[in-house]
Amino acid sequence: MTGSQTNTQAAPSNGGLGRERIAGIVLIGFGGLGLWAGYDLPFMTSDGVGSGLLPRLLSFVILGLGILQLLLSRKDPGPSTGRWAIRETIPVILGVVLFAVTVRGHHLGPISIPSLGLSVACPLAIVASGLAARDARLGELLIFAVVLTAFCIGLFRYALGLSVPVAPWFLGY
Amino acid sequence: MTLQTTRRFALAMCGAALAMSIATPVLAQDAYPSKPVTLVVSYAAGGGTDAIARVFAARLEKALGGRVIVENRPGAAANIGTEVAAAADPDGYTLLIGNQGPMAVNPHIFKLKADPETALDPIAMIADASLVVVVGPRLEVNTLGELVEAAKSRELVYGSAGNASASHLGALLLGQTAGIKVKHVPYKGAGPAVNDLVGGHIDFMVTTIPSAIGLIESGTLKALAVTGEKRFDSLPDVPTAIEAGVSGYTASAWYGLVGPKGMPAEVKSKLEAATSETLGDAEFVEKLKKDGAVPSSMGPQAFSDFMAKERARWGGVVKAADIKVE
Amino acid sequence: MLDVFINLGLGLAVALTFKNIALCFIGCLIGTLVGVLPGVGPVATIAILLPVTLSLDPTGSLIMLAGIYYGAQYGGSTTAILVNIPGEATAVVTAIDGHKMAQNGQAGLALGLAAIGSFVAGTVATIVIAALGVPMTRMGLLFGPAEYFSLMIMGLVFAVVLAHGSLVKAIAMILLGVLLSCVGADMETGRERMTFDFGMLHDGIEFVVLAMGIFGFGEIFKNLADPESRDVVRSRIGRLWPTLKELRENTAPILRGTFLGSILGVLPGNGAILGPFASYAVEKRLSKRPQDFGHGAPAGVAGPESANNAGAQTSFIPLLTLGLPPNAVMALMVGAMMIQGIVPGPQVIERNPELFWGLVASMWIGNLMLVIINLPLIGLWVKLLRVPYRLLFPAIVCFCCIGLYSIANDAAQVMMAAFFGLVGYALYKLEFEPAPLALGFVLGRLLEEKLRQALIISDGSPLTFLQSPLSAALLAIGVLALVVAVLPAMRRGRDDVFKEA
Repeated sequence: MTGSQTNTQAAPSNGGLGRERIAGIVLIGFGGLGLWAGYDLPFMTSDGVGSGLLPRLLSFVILGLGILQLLLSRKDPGPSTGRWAIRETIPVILGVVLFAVTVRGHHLGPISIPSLGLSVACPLAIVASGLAARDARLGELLIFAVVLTAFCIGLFRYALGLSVPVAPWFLGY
Repeated sequence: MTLQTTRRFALAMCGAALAMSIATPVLAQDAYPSKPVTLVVSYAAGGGTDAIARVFAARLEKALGGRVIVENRPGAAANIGTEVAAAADPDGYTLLIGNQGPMAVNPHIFKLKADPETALDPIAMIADASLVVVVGPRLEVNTLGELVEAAKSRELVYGSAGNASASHLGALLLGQTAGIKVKHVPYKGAGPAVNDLVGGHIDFMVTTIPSAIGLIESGTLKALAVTGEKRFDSLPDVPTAIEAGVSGYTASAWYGLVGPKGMPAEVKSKLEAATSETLGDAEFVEKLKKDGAVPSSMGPQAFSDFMAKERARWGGVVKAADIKVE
Repeated sequence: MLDVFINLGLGLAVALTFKNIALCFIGCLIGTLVGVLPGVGPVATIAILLPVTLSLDPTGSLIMLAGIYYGAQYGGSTTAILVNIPGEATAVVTAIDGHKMAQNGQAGLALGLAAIGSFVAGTVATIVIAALGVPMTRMGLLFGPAEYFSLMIMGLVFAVVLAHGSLVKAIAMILLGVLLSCVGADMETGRERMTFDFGMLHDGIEFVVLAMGIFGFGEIFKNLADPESRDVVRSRIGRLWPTLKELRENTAPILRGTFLGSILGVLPGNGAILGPFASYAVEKRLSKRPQDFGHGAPAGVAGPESANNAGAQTSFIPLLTLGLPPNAVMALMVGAMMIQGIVPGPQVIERNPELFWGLVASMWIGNLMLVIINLPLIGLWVKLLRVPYRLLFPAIVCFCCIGLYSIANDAAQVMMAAFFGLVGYALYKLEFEPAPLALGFVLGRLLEEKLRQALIISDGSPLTFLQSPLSAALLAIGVLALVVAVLPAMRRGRDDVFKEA
């Protein structure tokens, strides 16, 4: 299976599962998750609807639709879902997470990151996510990151007046 | 170089040295604020507290002689802001607008990560905003007394800006003080609730003055009473609830300046002085009035006592109404 | 009727001073900018700018703030069309066919239709405000919680019509959206619901976070996985302007969208978001080629965009005639008026006619400005698509991150969007459509709120939804629309239900 294969071809299904069948299983999963997450909520109260009525009702219907979807896909489980772009998603997610933990700092157990502001968070997000492209060029990406970061700081902090930190380690804010 | 210029130069040098020797201690005293001060607001941009905070911050900048940046940290029923301020360095560069909900009500309702009483240090009270009891076309009464009478024949429904908001608790307390049963319909913000009051879908509201004053002036809604201790300037004909016969009933939304526990004494007194200077500014007071609030000057001790009193009072209301969150 | 034009004339005299035109232009420009930027909405912008407007006179400051508002509505559509990120709930509908058009090399046409549709809608809505403001406010007041609930049910049915693939999957997505909208503290008791003790979920999921995740990040994953098809699409960039024929074809959708949007705009509590859905559903039903919808049908952009803009404008009606703000932006406008010493309410029109009519007239001028600002920008936006994707997507990621952070100055929102991005990609792989999910999410919020309010007021009796004639009628329309939508799908049988996208 090549990377560029689209999912419209009737490729062999993933271990006997087709797209439609997986969709049904996923729906059952969502319904089950909803039921589990809301199991402790009151269904009805003395003077009206409880906080659990709508979530539970919806979860049951979604579960039911999942079963219906499985039944419908019995004869035609649908084509394979094709290749999942794991190699491309990881750098992007990493970039976003790096932005999130550096922009204002983050404390998680023994790891403690100080607030570094946009001046650090933006280039990290741009370079890390940019590496996801197969035709990425590091040098170009680095220059682009510097230019775009300067632009973002000017735009968001100074032009729009948002209170996002810029470079607390250097400017104090 | 001629003698004269040399002399002039020496004089100038002496003058500069003298100026510096005077300036240095002043500079040391002025050390705070040496960088922008962050004023945390526990609500999203665009709300009532945010509006007061932004007007206050703009004026405080002048009094303090340094930048004051408003930072909105909404979330978890305004408890995030409390947590943020409590966790900040107590250097006076992170301050919080402490208001009635998170300071006096939430400790009774939520399990808090940071208790405002122990984790925060009151600096000064800023403003006090009275609420107003209003009725719409669904309830044909003209006085607060008539509302209480009407509530004895049928259960009245009131709208609020949200669970545990000032308008919710204000109405709860009214019911408890007057001894009537009233039913709560929560809305998301005062706007939609006032809308349903005008449309005749609910009976009454205890709401902030800005959210209803236009409709009161035009006669669309009837104001039965203001909930403060004194009448409000823009509504001179509306009696206070106590004058209208519900003895002992006052409720208001108030706003103060607090910081993390353990701020240096000189920073605190500087902030207190700056706040009190701000409250003396006629233009600022005028703006507050337009937001339905009056300045309320209190120093750290008075503000601290006031908060303790409010906290105990609303604790009783919350307990009697059995509001709690798991 | 003559009065209307005399009044509008007075308003034009006020709005057409050099200073007010300049303020209107600045407002529209800022609005377009924040609308285009994902995550930075008009609410935060106006709140930050409020103290600045203190130095202006009341009319001027309101004209500028109003410009920000509809400028942002318009700018949001640009982002939805170009990179499939709907910054506001109303732009979800635009994203469906608008982005498909952009992928088909018709970005210019989509943006042009949006601009022209918005202008027509803005013009009509201005006249509607001037002529029908007061009666429309009364209509809006008829909607109590019970009527509103029924309206939302009708809206959810429209959301089913919106879907173009499998009916089972579409309904499941709508309901999943409603379920997601239930996450967070309960509005009545404050009790945590389905939050798994995550603090960031306490106040519920922000729409922008969900939308940027499943649409924005999801789209990036999709494109990265499939570079060949992406580049083929990107190399084709068509005309920048719609032809006369295309304009003619879209006149009726624009007018119908304007009508629907104008009516729904006056509803309290964000009723305006129903406008674009209703318009899309109507266009799909009336179209000779309903199968094109979802694959880049121009009417699916022109109609909803007009409805969006008309609704944005008529949502000023309750504010201007009664001082009732129907949404967060309007609440800020109330604040802006109060700070200037003007008490919003029915008396404004008599006490400050120059402010009232000046603002109304400035809306039309603002719409004209938006066209003037945005038509030349179309070329620029389309060129932006020519930036190599390997640089374009890191830039999108960066802008999204800053926007997400600025919602609540909280990095947790950024992480949450990344999570939704993965969910969005998985949904795409399984051929679930994200639009019904987003719509279910938006309507779900209001749905539950109104359901519970109605039942508290009626002492728990569900009959309240049938006792009100308006509510009963809305429910009947909903049921009818559902039958019309579901029956053909059932008759068509499974082959069509599962047809390939």
